[in-house]
Amino acid sequence: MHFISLMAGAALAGALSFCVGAAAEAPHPAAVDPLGSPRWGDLQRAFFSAVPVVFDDRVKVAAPAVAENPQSVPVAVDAGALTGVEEVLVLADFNPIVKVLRFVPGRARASLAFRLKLQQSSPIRAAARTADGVWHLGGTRVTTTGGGCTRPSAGTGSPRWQQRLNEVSARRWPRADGGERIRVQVIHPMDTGLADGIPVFHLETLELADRDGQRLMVIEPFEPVAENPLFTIEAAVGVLDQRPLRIAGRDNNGNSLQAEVAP
Amino acid sequence: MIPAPLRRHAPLLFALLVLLTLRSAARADAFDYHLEPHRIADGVYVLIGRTEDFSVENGGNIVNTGFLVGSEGVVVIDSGPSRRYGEQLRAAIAGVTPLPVVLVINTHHHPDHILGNQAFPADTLAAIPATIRGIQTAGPGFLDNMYRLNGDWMRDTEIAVPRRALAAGRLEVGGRALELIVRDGHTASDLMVLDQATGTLFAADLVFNGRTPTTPDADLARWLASLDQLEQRPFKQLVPGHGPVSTAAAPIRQTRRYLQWLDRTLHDSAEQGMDMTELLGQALPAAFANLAVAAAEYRRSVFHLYPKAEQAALAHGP
Amino acid sequence: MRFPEILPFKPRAVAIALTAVLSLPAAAVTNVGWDDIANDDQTTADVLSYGLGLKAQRHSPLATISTGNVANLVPAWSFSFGGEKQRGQEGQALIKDGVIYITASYSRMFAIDARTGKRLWEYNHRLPDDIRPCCDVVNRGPAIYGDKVFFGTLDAAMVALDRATGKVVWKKKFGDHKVGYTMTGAPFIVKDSTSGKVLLVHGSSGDEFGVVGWLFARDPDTGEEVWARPLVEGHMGRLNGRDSTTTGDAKAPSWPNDPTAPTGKVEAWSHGGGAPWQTASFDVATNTIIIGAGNPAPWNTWKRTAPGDDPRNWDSLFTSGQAYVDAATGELKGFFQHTPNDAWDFSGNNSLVLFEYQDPKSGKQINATAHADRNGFFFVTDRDQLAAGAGYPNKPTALIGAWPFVDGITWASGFDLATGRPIEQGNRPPAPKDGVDKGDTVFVSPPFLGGTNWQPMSYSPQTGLFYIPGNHWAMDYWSEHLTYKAGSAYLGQGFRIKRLFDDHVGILRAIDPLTGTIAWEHKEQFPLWAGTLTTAGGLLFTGTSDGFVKAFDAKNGHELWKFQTGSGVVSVPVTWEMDGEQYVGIQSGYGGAVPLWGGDMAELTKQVTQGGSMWVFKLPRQVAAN
Repeated sequence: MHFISLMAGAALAGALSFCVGAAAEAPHPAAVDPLGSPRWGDLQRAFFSAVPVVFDDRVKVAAPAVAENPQSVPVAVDAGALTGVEEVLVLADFNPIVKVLRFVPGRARASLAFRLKLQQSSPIRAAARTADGVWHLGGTRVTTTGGGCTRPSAGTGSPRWQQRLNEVSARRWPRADGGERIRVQVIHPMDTGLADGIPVFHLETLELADRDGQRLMVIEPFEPVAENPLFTIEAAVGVLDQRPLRIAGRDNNGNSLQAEVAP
Repeated sequence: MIPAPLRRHAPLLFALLVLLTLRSAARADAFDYHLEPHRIADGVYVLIGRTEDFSVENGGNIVNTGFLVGSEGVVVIDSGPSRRYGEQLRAAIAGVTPLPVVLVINTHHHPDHILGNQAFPADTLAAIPATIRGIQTAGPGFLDNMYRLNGDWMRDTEIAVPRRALAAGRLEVGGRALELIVRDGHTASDLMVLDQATGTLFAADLVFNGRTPTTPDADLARWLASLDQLEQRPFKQLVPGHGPVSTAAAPIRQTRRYLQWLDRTLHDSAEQGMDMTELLGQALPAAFANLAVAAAEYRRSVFHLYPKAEQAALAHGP
Repeated sequence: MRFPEILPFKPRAVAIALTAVLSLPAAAVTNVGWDDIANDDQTTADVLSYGLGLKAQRHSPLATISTGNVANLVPAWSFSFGGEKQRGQEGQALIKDGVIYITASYSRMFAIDARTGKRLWEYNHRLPDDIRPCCDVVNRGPAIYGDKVFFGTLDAAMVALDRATGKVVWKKKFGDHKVGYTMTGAPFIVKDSTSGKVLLVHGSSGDEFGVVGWLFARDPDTGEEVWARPLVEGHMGRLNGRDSTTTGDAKAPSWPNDPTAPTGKVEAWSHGGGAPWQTASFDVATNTIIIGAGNPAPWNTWKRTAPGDDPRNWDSLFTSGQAYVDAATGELKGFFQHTPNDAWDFSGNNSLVLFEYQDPKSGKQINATAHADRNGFFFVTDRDQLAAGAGYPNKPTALIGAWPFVDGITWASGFDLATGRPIEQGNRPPAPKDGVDKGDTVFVSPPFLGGTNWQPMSYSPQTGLFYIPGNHWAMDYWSEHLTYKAGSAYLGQGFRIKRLFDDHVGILRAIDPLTGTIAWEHKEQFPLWAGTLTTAGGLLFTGTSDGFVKAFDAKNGHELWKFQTGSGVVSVPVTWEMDGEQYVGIQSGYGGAVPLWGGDMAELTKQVTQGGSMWVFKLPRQVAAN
């Protein structure tokens, strides 16, 4: 409202075409955001413009209320209560790079646990898109001291990351329900490009498939995923059936990785 | 009167007023830690901190410090969490003896044990070389955090790095005979001080009594080994880094039991493939749940120590 | 290895060669006198002051390059500042006797042959590791007088260099860099008409670290302080080495009391900011130095407000406004506050341009000051009233007009001309509720980066318009708890900078100082962070963050020429005449506050590469002749 009166007050000469859609006067969507984040309106415009979005308690995001280390904040996303999840996007409202990670669950459960970097206290959200095109959002708030995105990765100080770059350790565990849990860790500095003098360097894709090429999950980590990323993936009974699992991946410098994990 | 444009914020302003009034009341107290030296043996005094987390309410006074009055001077063991604490500690010492402080020992590099250093003459500050290095490298980060957690209690506090290097063994100072015992596990270097005349053992943060141990720089295996050695050593009284003084070995055993449980829990959880978020959500066993700040310290320990346990579990496979 | 062979046999030849090299620029140096500086706006062969004249109008009477031929402008040469120190280059060059004096990032100064681009000398200030510049390691330019050039360094010192050799003549440290004092602005030469003495005037920086801002006047020959003036009310000034007077009222009624504190005032008063970190202008007629005062510290409005009271009752004087200081004594004669009890880090430092105009109502000629503030408003104030020096310095009724020069201002709807105070819109970020780390977030536009910022605007007497390099953006803004820690940021606020419009951030606007009407505007995708320059050729020059130097028709804003310099341009253009030709000079090298303070702008400006060079342009000879 102030906006309108000020425009008149400025007595602008000539025809000025303002991009009103992007201006401050969009409806106040924060009012409907259960996390009450002032950034929600911006996120909606950036990631979900002209698509249906619902806040949905069935999308669970577990993370500590207070995170000791802003360079490694554990988070577990679970949209497994929804059916037909086609992709999941993880966002951190107040990060300089908001997009944290995207994954396509494939034959795995629509859940993923990993660690991320936070620049300051922020909501962490997961958005799961179901086959009908609707994005279902869940989230939680994390308080932290901050600076996680602009500090050099811990490994940068030593030559170790170069020697062990893209080294994979992985292990599989049977679940009580007959399914499997897979944990995969990749040695990678995951540099955001925001620390002084260190270029962007991060794992871009990680694909898990069985020996026949049947995809279990595709993970696309972005810059805010923590150094030496560790992923926890769940497969339901009958999905893997004790077959070997192949892991393939690549970072933004074209360094590739391949590994096979026996049951 | 509240002018019109701000009237809709009236409840907020009221809340603010209450808050500021409370804070002013705290201010009027002039940031007094109310330090009271307790004489626990001949010439041996301790100042017992609260078994809490750092906060603007306690000003960081969650630590035990102590001093030994000899025939010629005073030996201080740890200087507390802030410049104000150091100054008040010095005043408390002056209330007990006119003798000068001749040595200030920093048992390890954690901020609650070293940030009172400024209040003492620079040439009295002393520590093991590894601790001096730790203060130099980690000190500034600790200091920032302490300002954030304790607020104005930290006013004008800066890092004063000890210049005098100590070594394990016997030390005659100020007219008191001490034995310096160097161990590790809580940090890379943990110094214990045994006063030979009274059999008082200042165990520093290798021993916690009634408060959950902290682990930001811990190596659990080495800490447990240090506790095993410590239990072999006779003492009349034991001053833990945090919590009340004891005449028995119970605090050593309590600390050991907790660390053993923590070590096993982390190891077993990693072997079972548990994710960190699952581990964070777990409740503590009843035996430890009533230790002070148990839930918060347990979660912190998971952040500090679980990644290493996970790596071990992934590296060696099933 | 060959050196020992030569040395015993040809020492004389070596010595002669050295002398010849050194004497080349030395022979060309002629002393700069006060009259040269006083007439800088009229003389075309040199540039001797920040602002191209004491009034800081940034207008050159040169018309060789004009709207008709500017499209033919080509580079004459380019000079790289070299090294790995490629951060923001925000300087304005000075030119005398065919030599360009320009400062560069990390407290460096270069003397360059203006004809060829050849380096004559270079001074690299050895900086300690613990300097604390808030907003990049920039420098905004030198001052020149006699046989010396002067510049401020990031470790809070003023350095005088010999113009011929680049050797240090004197150096004066004016503050402790470890607690946050630093210096980025260009110093300024004035002449005190009372004593007849020429003075080197400079400010200080460091409001983000909770230091009190000071304005200094020195003897340019020796560096000795003549007077010093703190900008926080109730602090004591100095004159000739002794305490002089307190600034404003000794009791500092614009800051709350705290009976439990040793000073009797709230903690913020001891760390109150107000740094005059930009460059002054000088009103010869009233012997008055006119300079902007920085933001109060901390940013958090509640730390500067009595408990439970309305912040509008606590103005935090003399911060975030324009200060009128007596050149003879350093007394604060007058002050107009752009943002009383500034809760948004709007500061008041942006350039203060002196101009005269006919009042449209009375027809009277008015000596006025123009200022485009970070808070989004363009101010015209009565210079004579503010420089008169009677009574309490704060004179809100000296306001003639205040108009928005950017869109979407949220914090105030305008200014009440009767009281000279803003009509606030309840946009102050609330204090954190009990037991919570942060207060509720408010949406604020402009953000603290400002509707415009340090990048100086210019005035054209030809068009009667001011040219403001503005920006459209906003911030999410919330209060936080804070404790003063020496050398640490002292803000008590959190924020995230965000876009206001999808298609542009930069908004170059021409504004009419009589009506506040926007005559024309030009949008830029990237933030505008370079100053503007007008010429009698009907042109407006500026630079863009994506690397272009651009020329516009000052009448209508048509873009007539542009040249890509290879890194972002965040400096201040100058123009001069040499050998019958008109030259335009500007530095390229991206940096400054914008990429450092994050949010949407960090994302956008990631695309801009670093650099560090001086560019000089002219017309090909045959074009200039036509």
